[in-house]
Amino acid sequence: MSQRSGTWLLREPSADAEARLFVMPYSGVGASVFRHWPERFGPLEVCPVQPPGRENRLGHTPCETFEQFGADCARALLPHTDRPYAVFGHCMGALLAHALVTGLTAQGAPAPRRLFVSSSRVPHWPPERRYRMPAPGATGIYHPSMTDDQLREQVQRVSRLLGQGDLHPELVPMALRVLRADLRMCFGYRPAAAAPVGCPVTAISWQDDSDVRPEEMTHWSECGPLGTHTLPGGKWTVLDATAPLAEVIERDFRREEPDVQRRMTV
Amino acid sequence: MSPLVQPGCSVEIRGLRTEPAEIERALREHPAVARAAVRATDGEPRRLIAFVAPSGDALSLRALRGHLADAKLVPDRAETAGVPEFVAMTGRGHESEAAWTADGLARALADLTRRRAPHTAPAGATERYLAQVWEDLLAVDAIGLDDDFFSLGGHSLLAVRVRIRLQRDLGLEVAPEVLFENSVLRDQADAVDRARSGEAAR
Repeated sequence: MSQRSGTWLLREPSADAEARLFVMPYSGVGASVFRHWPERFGPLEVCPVQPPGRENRLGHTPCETFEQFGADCARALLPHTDRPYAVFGHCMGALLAHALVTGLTAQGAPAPRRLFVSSSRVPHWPPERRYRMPAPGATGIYHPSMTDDQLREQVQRVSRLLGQGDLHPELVPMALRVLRADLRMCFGYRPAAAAPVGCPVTAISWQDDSDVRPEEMTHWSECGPLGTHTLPGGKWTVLDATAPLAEVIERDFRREEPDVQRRMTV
Repeated sequence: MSPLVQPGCSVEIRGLRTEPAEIERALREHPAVARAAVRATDGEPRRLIAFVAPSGDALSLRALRGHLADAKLVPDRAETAGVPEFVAMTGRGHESEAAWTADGLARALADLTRRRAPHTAPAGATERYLAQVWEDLLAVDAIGLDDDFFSLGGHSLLAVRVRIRLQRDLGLEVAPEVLFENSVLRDQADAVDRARSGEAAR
């Protein structure tokens, strides 16, 4: 296999970037899911992360635990933490982002300027509290007790919602395989206690997200000084990088610490 | 980031004199193009870059090159002589005025460049065929042997379309997984050749 194939970052970061934003995918998808995001938010160059076992890393053994993911991903990204950076994760990606930050600081990297988490309960809640069965009409909510047909229906709803029509039948088995592995990883994750990230946290909720409510996201304050935002849209609006989301990312990244931060915390 | 210059009335690009202003005008007149700008890189060897924003969903670089050839602005069926490189302006924010300033265009070129591997031109028939299929699907030209389908903006649905093209053009059945695992052009061409010679395509 060529050397280029299967690196942790979907594209090479620019040598002249002022700052970097590492972006995590979520359950069942790869880095290309953020293809509608701009190349940068203000000073932050968007760097999508591709975990093993997905898309162009399909042939690589997937991580089985968040601890392993955090350590492996940190080792790969360490050289790219040579300038201000932040990490963003949505849904399961928020837990991956948190694991990456703890992995990076454990390996001696400078702390990020900020951790951005969207539509996710905290890692240190046990899985029974962290996840729910999908409410009727929910989209893109998964649970290990669901049958393949039920998982497929959720995946199809996301695909239709994103205007891509039904997922191509040839892609369904692959999508379900990645999804099952992610569910095993999420439901096996039981950290003993909240792990602080050593930087401020921005928690983003979505007005029409029936799964994760804004009040649940306030618990991220147990990982770092917290700023919270509730933005217009549903759980999947994140993929459009709407103007309010772009503004939150750029503004919170630039925010001076710690005085202004305290005022912002609600 | 290499600076871009507004080229003069006539510049020599890859051994052929071309008229950048004429090329820009012709591209603007094409119905699939909403906006176009043609610039040259500063320094040698000079490269001519055509930035094009599509007016609709699909942008065929092949059709644009054909259009320039029909207008006698580039040599018919030329490999590279006198032909501009294309940068499709399709990403978020490309409709803003800032994206079309000298800095904005230089940034767009740099952003495309960092998605690419150091260039080695496809040589074999399968490599060149796949490079054309990728170009049609990704609107990225001059795809090299070490380029990665996903780094250039590909995603799973587009990978399925590669599979459909292989079925249609070569009568070849290649599982989507094989195209995912061999996402670098050189590897994908090898996988396709193995599938053609009847070996297991993995």
